[in-house]
Amino acid sequence: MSHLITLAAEQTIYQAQAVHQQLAAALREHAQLEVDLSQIEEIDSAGAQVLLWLHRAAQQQSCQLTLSHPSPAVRDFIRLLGLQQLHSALEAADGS
Amino acid sequence: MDLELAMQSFLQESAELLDEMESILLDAEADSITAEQLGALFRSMHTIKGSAGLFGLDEIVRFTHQAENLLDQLRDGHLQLDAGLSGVLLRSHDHVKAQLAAVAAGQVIPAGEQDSILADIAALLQQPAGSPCAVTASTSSAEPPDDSDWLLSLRFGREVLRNGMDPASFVRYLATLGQIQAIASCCSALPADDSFDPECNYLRLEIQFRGAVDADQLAGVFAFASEGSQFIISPRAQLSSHLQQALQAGDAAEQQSCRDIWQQWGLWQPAADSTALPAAVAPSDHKPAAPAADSKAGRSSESRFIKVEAGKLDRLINLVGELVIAGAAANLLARSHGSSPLLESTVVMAGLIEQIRSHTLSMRMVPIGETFSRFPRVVRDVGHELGKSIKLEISGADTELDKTMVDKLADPLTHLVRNAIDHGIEDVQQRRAAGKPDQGHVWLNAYHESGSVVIEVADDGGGLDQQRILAKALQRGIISSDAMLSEQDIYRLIFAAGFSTAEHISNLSGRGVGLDVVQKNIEALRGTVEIDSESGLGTTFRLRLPLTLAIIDGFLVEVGSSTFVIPLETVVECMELPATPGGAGMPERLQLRGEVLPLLYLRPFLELDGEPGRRQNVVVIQTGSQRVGLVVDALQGEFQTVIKPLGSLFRHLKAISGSTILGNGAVALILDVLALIQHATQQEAGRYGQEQDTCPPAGSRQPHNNDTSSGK
Repeated sequence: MSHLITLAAEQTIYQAQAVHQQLAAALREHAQLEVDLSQIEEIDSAGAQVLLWLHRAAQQQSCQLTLSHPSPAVRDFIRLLGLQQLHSALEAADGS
Repeated sequence: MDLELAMQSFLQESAELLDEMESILLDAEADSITAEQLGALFRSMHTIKGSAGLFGLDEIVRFTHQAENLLDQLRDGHLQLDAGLSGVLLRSHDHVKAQLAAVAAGQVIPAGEQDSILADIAALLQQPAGSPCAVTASTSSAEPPDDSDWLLSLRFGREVLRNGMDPASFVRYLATLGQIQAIASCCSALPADDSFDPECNYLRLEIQFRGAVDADQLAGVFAFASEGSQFIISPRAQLSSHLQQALQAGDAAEQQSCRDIWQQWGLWQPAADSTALPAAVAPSDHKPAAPAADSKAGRSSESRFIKVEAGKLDRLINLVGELVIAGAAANLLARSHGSSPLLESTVVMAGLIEQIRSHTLSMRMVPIGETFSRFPRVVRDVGHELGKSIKLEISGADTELDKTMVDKLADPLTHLVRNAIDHGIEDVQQRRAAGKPDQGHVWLNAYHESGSVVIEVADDGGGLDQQRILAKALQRGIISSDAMLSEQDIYRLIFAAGFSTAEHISNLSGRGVGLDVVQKNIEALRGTVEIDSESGLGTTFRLRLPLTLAIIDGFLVEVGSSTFVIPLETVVECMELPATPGGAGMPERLQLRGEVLPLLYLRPFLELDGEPGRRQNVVVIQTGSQRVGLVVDALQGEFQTVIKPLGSLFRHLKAISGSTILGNGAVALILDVLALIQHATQQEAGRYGQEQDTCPPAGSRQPHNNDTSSGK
């Protein structure tokens, strides 16, 4: 069973620190992690960086990470900044 | 290759592509459109054009080519999808559909709206040619002189986020100055370990930009973030020096990932000198991920479905039906021989037959979503026509029902939805006055309930006005002035032919045709229509349809020497008919756990001969919220029933919906539960009602059904 974390509506620099800590703790405790992005309504570079970090850290710690159900806001932001790493991570989740 | 067959599959495929196109366009009106959807739109026209070319359908090729150009512009971001553009695309969709329909019917392809649509497309294609950033393969007009290409390498400082600046806002601002043709972020600096600081910036952006700007203007964009940041901005012509400069900063990993990005864009080639690059970067190159994803999705949906001719499926279902009967006969035989190994093997076989049966039947079942999917368009068009803003909400689209049923439901549902928008939802002024949001809501909802499928069409409009309906019905002479009608009866009046309460006649409804047709259609499917209405809050039309399938689970009951089948899904419980105190006659109703249960005696109702046995049984059947107890002589248990339609002579029988052959070869009639319940509740209401029950009991019209050996 993978552990599910649903990120809240706002993922900006104001939340980045706390979310980072939450995700870091989850990464340590679970071998399988699913992060639900469906509720995100606002995201900025800091929020996106946390997701990028999570993606890389999970690879490093060989945790099986799924980024699921990206909201339109997330998809728009990925397109805006050309965040290919996140795009492919989401593609992988879509394909599975 | 058989050209006719190829043509059929072309038409079929095109129809699917057009449906997809329509649904994407309608989605996009409600929401922003994604790159994949744009790709799919382009593909639909492109594929139709290609296939039409194979068949020499030059008219279609000519038209789709223009539509494709338009979609190409859209896909490459040179045009924005707005209401006007999506209107043109929808009209193009309709036109291609009409063209294909003409091809299918073997007629001359009509010109229709073609010229006006083509003119609109041409206008849209012209429009951006004047603006800074429109060059496409198709129009390939000369590039305006004041338009220039730029390369941007943006290394934002670590502290920009803390200083309240977000790289994303710069990109957004940049996009207002011209066209961001490609953007990629490089995040090799982002640590994967604990040294990651979520409030530090690790992003570096590589951008290809085209716009009517000069170097100072571009530099000005990033002036605020200059502290600790490094921005390299060069005209496209100075590509090699730009790449060199851009590579000076950053560590090896960062350099490599930048090179990867440039290589993807065709700006940099690993072996050759970086000056040797393709003269022009084709616009389609800058989204490498999207086409790959599209083709993947396309493949997976192809392999998931096999198209089977409907006739083949019907033959298979017929055979499975025979198999069920033969299996039952074998089981009966084994039982009479008393050989337990034989009996055991027939039981195993019966289990397998049961599985084959349910799988075969499920092949005929399609989700109603297929029908629902046409309604966003209906709602949009009708809403526009009437100047009402309507939101359609669909739920239960995956509710499955028989394919033939789905096809026949489309028209009545369309009537109801149009009716809801036209009559149900009020004008904006009236809605505001009633304290409702400007936008009206229409709901389509489907679900299964005790062996039937329920489809609801609801609106949040003004509700039905009972007084007005009554007045109108009086005026039209549909009812007499002294009629006493229940709420449901009043609502039911709107189904009467020639009835309309709309004060003004609109283009769509109000001419009194429609609802009576709806009722006829639904009754032809052996369904019912219920209406719930709350004044000021809205109206719900509830269609209840049987799952008419070739085979059902039946419950066998015996009356005299005849056997009858009741669809098992409708059976709630069975019990013995309690002896009446004092043995007086036949009670008309029963107290069942505090509720009154009307009883229907099948023997007199069906006019069967013979005297009831000493112990009679009650089978409680239910549809919706109504329950009725059927009084029968004996219960025989469950039986898989193959429904055989009744001959035309018996079609009009209300209480019988079909016949079946039992394992021993005898014929049993299948009871129409809906009709029985309606009759019983009417009878019950008639006993209490003050008005005369004008309908004679259905039983008096039934011929004798007691001869089960008479087969057909």
